[in-house]
Amino acid sequence: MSPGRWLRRLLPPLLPTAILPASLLAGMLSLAAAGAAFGYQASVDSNETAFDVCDGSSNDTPAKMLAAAVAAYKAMGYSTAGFTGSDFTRARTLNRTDDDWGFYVHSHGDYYWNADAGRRYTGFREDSGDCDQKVVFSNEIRDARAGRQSNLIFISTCHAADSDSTMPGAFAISKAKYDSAASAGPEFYVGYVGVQWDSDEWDFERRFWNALTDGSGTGAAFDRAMAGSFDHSYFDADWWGAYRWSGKAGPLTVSCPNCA
Amino acid sequence: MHRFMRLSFRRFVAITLAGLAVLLVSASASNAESPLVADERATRQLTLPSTASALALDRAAAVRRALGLPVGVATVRRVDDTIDHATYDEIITTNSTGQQTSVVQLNPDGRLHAAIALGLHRSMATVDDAEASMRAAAIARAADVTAAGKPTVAHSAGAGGWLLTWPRIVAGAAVRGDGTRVALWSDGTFHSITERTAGLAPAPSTPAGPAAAAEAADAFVSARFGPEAPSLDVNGSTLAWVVPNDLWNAPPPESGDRTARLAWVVEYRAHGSLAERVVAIELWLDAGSLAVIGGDVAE
Repeated sequence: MSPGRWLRRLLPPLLPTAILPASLLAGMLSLAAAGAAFGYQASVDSNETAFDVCDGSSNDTPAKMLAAAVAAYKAMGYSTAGFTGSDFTRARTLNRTDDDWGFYVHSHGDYYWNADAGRRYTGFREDSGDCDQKVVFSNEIRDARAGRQSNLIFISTCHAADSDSTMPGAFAISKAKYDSAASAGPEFYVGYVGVQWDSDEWDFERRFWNALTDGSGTGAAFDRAMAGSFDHSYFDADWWGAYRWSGKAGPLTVSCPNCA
Repeated sequence: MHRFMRLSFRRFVAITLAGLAVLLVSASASNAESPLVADERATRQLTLPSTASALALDRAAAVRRALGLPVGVATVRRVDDTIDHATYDEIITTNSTGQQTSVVQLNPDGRLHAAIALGLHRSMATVDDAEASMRAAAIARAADVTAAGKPTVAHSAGAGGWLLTWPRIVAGAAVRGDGTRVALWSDGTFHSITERTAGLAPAPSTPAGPAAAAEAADAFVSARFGPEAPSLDVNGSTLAWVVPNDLWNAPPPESGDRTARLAWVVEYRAHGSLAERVVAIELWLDAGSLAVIGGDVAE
């Protein structure tokens, strides 16, 4: 993916659909957060009900992950909203995804059988506030987005970065590693390989967000997060996209040694 | 046709209203925002005395030479890391174009905390697990880090090749998260090394046996999961040193207390309908009292 193609896809829809109304509203409501790139929407979903109410674990990690991801996306300039409980539904996720430049989800994930499609796709479960949780399949996200590009995608579920994962493609990110955003475009996808434990994921995410918001750039933030210690020695995650990129919302407009 | 041109006026209005909703939700969310990234970062910078700065830069240069990391312009800062509960001096090296090429983290006493080679490494060559073990052991020796015996070897996508770990063993049990961990690219080239050593509580004088631990764990699972308890099968149990947490409503450790305690770690795998929501759980039972002191969940 060349940055030229990225810019062509990114800039035209931005002005009419997002910048103008958002800027007007921000001015009227005085809600503008410093540095936020209004119009570059990020959605953050976390399934708290499954891992607290439904499995009886009294687990507050998904709530902490939600708060950390919301804070991180905001710090990276995205116009960010977080959803959990009955607000994190399959319908809402699919409804918002067409406008998402950033997306984070923490939930139960797998390579699920999609009966409608007659094959398996990577997916994750909604929260929906109860214990009957529908799967959001990657092909549904792909269809809703219709090929539009993404900036920063973090799928905090099991199997999201397996070699056969279909989730990166849903966000138009190819499963390839590029040295810089000048080659790949300003995009980065992170996910977990195989089955991972909450405590390790939480430590990884804290390190990743901390390094990213500290200006390390996407690939270095990933390397720093991986170089931490983990309770389970086989902890593994993977990434695709641009190693040297800031992670910030929007097109590749700022050039610096560690981000482009 | 250009995407914008396809938008109807109704959709434009809808997007505008949606934008308003997002702004309102964002504003609301910001009030409950985690201080993790904003005000209470996982790391914060401390004042580094100039004498310590010079020593850290010298020691880091020696580490870079030992690990074959590139030379460049080095900067140093002292960091308080709330995840690792450690203070270290972090030396970042940049090349002539300003790109960061390595990170070296040193404990204040000069011991290595971590070293990372930054940047994408492309190589079609691969080494096997025996060669990877040999190279990782050599790297650990060069970095003056403990790596005795045979490591655990695993393929790792995140490492870009191999991950080799030497767990820290105390009283016959592994200390979770502790030990030496070396990541290699697939061709055996150095990627990163870390060493951790947590504080340990005294081991109980008479640890409970595995049968008693299994019985206590089963009783907890039955009480906690009720009719869904049969959907959880024991997948193994082992003695390990763990840092207690408040999962399963265990009494939370005192703030900042990262002392590891000897525990029976009992893992259950879920099946049936429960497996739709959780893959596995761990119960951590104090090795002496068999009280639940925490655990973990795989989703």
